[in-house]
Amino acid sequence: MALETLYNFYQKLRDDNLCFVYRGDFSDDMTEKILSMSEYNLDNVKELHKLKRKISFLMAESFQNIVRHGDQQTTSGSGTNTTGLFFTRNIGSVVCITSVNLIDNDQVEDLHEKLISINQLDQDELKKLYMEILSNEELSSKGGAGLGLIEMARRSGQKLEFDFEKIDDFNTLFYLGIKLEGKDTLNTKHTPIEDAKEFQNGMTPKNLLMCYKGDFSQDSIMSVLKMMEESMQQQAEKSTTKKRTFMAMVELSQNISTHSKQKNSIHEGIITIGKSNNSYIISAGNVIDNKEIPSLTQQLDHVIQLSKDELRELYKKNLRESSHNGNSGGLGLINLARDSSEKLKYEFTAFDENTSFYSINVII
Amino acid sequence: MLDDFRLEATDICPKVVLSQQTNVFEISGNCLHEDPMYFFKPVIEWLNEYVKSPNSNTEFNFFLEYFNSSSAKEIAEILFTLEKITATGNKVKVNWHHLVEDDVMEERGNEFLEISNIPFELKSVN
Repeated sequence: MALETLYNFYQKLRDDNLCFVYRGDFSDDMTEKILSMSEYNLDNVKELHKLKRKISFLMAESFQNIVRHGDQQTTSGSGTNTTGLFFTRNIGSVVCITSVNLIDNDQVEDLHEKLISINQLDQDELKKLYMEILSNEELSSKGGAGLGLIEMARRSGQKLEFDFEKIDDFNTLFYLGIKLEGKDTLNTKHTPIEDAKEFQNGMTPKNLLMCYKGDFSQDSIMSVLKMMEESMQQQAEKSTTKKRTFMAMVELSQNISTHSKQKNSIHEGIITIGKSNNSYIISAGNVIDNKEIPSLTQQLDHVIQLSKDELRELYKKNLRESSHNGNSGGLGLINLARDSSEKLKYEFTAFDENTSFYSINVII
Repeated sequence: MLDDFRLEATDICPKVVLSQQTNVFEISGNCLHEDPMYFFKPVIEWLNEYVKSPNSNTEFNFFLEYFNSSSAKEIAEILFTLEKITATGNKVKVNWHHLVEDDVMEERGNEFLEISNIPFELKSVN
């Protein structure tokens, strides 16, 4: 199944506690937010508690790997940019972490050899090699000695998974993945490289910058949103556009947090953000009970048919009626409709007998 | 005189200073909490006490970077609570600060201005 609609993404990630894929600009300041996002999510998974520090280390190492090499990008014939990608996923007690970045074609052979030789070493040999490189000033100052790779192999206790995909005469995509398992049995169904490729192929043509599926409780989603705020700061769009985009992401995420049907007592959903020309496209989705569809449809259709002026008046009217009745009178939807440069689009897709997948699309 | 009410800012909650003694009233930063009623309840309770015997001249300052739609309702509630000061014969005014380049906060400020029944001034800050 190709990853085309938001529902495709959601179905693909149906059993994931967490999936976070990012292919925007990479900067060091985001590392901390990625770590807190993953910690909040993985706290929900008992089997992974012991691996927490290990996972955080590998995630940081993997992300920074792209930060160091991620400014390289190439434009394909169709005009879409191929760039770095960070991918992490947790299903059951399996965690996959993959970095994807462009390297020059002439680096491939050397890197390939290094990876093969690292994968042949056991823990003691890895430690010995690590110490050797550390104490050899000439080697370590070059930075090309593969210290990061050795550390990843040491800390994960797993073989490094990797692949090279030639893009054009100059560039090759380098995939580097790690799979960790909270229990002893290795779950072979999920492969960090193949999964990352599927998302790379699904997200690049649509120019999606980010996809998050997981817990939408305040603490975990805020680190995702703050990261996207950071990411957008490096983009050229007007600051007003970025601000509205951030605020729309907050509204959509908080809608999921309040209205999604709980799964294992977690409010989960999915959000993606993409870019097209000078606009940001935010799509959010979650599962709801079918009995909620009529009233939600009514609310949505109501704001969709109103003009900008009518929406502004409705917003003010609802603000005035400030009786503390526990609901915000649809202010969130009204503002989304006001800030969206095109009419809001929404969809319900049957999920199972009693529930549907609700998705909404905002363009800013 | 009421005791001061103060809260430090977090990523998602604003800094709050409500001080009758020093005549400083300020809410600044982000209002992004998903359940802002929980956060604003003590603020509004304090103000409900304050408006019974307010200072002769109250200036309430907002300087927000972000707020979500459920916080908008709470901000409106603060405006309506401050209105009660006029009945005591004392003066009250709201200043809505926003950065010069922050069109979004200026626009949202204008909407509060339009629903406000007390003096409300937009101030752009460099």
